[in-house]
Amino acid sequence: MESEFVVALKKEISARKNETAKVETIYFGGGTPSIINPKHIQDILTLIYAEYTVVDDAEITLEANPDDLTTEHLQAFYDAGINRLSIGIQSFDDEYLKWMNRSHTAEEALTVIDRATQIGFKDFSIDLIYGIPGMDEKQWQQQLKTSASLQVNHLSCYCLTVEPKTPLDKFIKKKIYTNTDDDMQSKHFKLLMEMAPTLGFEQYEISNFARNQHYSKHNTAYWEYKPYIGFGPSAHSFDGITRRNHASSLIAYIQDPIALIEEALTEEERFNEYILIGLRTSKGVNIEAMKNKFSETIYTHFEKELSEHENKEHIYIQDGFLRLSDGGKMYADSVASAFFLV
Amino acid sequence: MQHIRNFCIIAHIDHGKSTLADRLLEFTKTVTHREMQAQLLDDMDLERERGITIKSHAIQMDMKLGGKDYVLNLIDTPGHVDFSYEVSRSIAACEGALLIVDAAQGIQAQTISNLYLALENNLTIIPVLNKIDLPGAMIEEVSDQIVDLLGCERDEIIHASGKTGFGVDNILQAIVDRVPAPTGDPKAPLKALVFDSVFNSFRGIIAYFRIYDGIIKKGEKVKFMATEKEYFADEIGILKLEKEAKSEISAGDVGYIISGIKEAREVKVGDTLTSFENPCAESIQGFEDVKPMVFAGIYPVDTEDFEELREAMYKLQLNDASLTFEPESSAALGFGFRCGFLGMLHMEIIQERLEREFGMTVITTVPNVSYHAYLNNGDMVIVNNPSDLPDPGKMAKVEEPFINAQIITKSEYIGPIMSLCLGKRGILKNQNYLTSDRVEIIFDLPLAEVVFDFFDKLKTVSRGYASFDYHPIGYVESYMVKLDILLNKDIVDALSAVIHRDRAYDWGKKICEKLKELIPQHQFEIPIQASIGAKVIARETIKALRKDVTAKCYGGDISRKRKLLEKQKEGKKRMKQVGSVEIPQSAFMAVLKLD
Repeated sequence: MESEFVVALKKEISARKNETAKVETIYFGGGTPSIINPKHIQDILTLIYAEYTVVDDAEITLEANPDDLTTEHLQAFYDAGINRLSIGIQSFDDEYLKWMNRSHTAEEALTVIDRATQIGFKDFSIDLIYGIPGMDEKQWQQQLKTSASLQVNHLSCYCLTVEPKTPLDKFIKKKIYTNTDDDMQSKHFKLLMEMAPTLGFEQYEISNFARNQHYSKHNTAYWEYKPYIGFGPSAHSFDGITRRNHASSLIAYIQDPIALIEEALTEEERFNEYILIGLRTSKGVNIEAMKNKFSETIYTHFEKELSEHENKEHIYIQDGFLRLSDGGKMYADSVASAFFLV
Repeated sequence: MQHIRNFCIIAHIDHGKSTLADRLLEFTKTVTHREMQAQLLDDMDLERERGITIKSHAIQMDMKLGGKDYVLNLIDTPGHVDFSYEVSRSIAACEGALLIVDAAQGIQAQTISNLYLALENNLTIIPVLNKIDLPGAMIEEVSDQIVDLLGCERDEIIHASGKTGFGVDNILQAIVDRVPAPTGDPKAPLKALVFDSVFNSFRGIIAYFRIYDGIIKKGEKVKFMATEKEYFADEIGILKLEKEAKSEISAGDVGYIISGIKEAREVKVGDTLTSFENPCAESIQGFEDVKPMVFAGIYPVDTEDFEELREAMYKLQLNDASLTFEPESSAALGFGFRCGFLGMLHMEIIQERLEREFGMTVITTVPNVSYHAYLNNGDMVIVNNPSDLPDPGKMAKVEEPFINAQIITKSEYIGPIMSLCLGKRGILKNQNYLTSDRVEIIFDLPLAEVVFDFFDKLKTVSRGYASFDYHPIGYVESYMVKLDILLNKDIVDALSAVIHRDRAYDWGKKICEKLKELIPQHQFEIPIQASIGAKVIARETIKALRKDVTAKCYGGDISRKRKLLEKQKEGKKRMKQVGSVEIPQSAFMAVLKLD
């Protein structure tokens, strides 16, 4: 299956080569690409370099689980051209790793960065999850301190979200697991926002923190509403107006890797997304840029909503940018949807 | 006049009245098979969906029998207790009635009460045992019930099946043979009973009448005696599948009149239609001004739609004179209307029609009956809205309307039905065994306890084997209090209710629990309180929403999240902002289904 998938993926990569003039970032993500044979990563990158114009200092990230990153594999990924690792550490506590059904241990989480550094990797991002039932503020604080002690320059911290119809959701409904606690989760988030700067991390997006401006270039492109191409099952592409995506079925993908579901966004929908993601970034929504990007009707609507906004303390305007206050970040979705056009 | 037969059909809901009526129309070739729509007489969408006839209609059939031509006028009757007055007028326009009983279900309460009405009006009853083709038909047993009830002979009962058409010929023969021809004097002054009216958007009100004496002529000036309104008979005619205009209609017959009447309320069912030049001496007995039994506020969700709502209500009233409304205002909901309905079904129909036919999104407040509050100085105040209930200190007493209810069920369900009625503050008046396992139970009950969910509960506790009918018996002094609901410390007047003191705690607790379920979390804590005066009797709290922020928002997450938030925002449009709290439309209706 793996090689069939790679064949299909390569087919798609070649077929869509005319969709962009240049490639600034490449991201292997969504699921656990680290389990793939590093040789395939090498093949894919070689193909991309052959078919597309990739800039010199391109950010090339691989999402990986700590236990997949053996010295041997790390070396192979490094040789293939990967220059940034996004490691799904999730927690430095075995209890929670077990709870989350992770195959790695806290020990592996701690040693993987050293191993990768020795090979030559310099850019790391790690993922952490907070708001897990039973986790107290002290434990969360400890996790953050541990992260800061490592040589990582990027941190993604996600609040545990119970998505409907997932196994976790079912376990909670059956009362096998305790439900998440809104109150505790908001305290963790607050603690995170307070502690991050003291540890040298800048919150440049709701869930993302960077040291010394090592922002994720790839993810920043999403938030700046730039075009992107996504290859593989479930992957989304966006050209500024139309969003296209593959069905989630791997088998269907292998059968036809070029089949895409298209969704042309209306101007209202684009505006809604622009606000939604713009507000999540510390930079905020560029009001002047918006004036140029959208019609007068939409801009008038935006101004009206702005003046009538219910929770004035949740937002502020600075240097021509609309931003969320720390309090507003707690309610980023409500604040954004208040501006929505439906 | 000897060739005319006027008859109606008495049947319980689902006993096959409409289907059988269709077969009669087919057999007499009043409609061809091609014209036949299933259940022809129910021509409103809503009626067909609910499987009940809301408004009565009439249709004329021609038939040749034994070499003679006959005219059969079928006057259809509504089948729900909310519309019992209209049924009584339809019955009064006939000389005979088909009593249709479902062979699988037997006699039901409503059948009996309508049968009593028919007997009071000296109608000849033709018993029809319908649905005899059903596997569950209990022909012997149900025939026994009919014989017991009517004191008729077994062989007078006609076996029929609306589905197959079996027995339809026998029914028509019996109508001609058994139902007496109308009597009346064609030379006497015009005297006709208005038994129904419908609204036609092109022609205005079309009134249906049955002439007792005299002749009505096209173009003549006529007068409605109760409303004292005068019109010219622009068009008169008989009712076939389509209206058929005539130059005159004579005593004994059934017809329609179109006279430029614009509003349904100008024509009252039960009124007497007579000649302006040569009026009859007395009007036909039994006219009543139909009084609404249930009151509720109807408000637009969007306050800006008030005028549009007024327009819609006004249009509804054009063809439904039993709907009453007057403007009122609510601190919580803004401007709306206090509406009077014949019953809960009527209320639901009006709400549905507002939404379907006029595209209005409305909120209906807690329904209530009409109370009589007596002040210390002896003055009486009619309370149709909880907020009109005077201050307890100024009030000597409150009276609430009671009804006399007749319930017929199988003997095995007596227990649960008794507990249901007693739980609704009922007073047992009588209990009769109609047959060895069919019991008639008579209760006096407060109307307020019946209008909510009594009928649904009755169906549940009796597994559907109970039928129910009632009539008002006047006002009785009761210990009523006004229960207020406070959201975030503010009274939401639209959720206030007048309720018996003994039921207030239970009601208050349940409504608080229900509202906690239905009102979404806000960014602040919302206390929900139920209070009588200043005394809080129940409390719940909706916890504050501490955060509302998506964790991951990359690539495909963006459109997923955007769609989700757009959907939520769409839903918010159907919520009503009261003070700082957003209340979903469903919360206002939820009080109807509290347990």
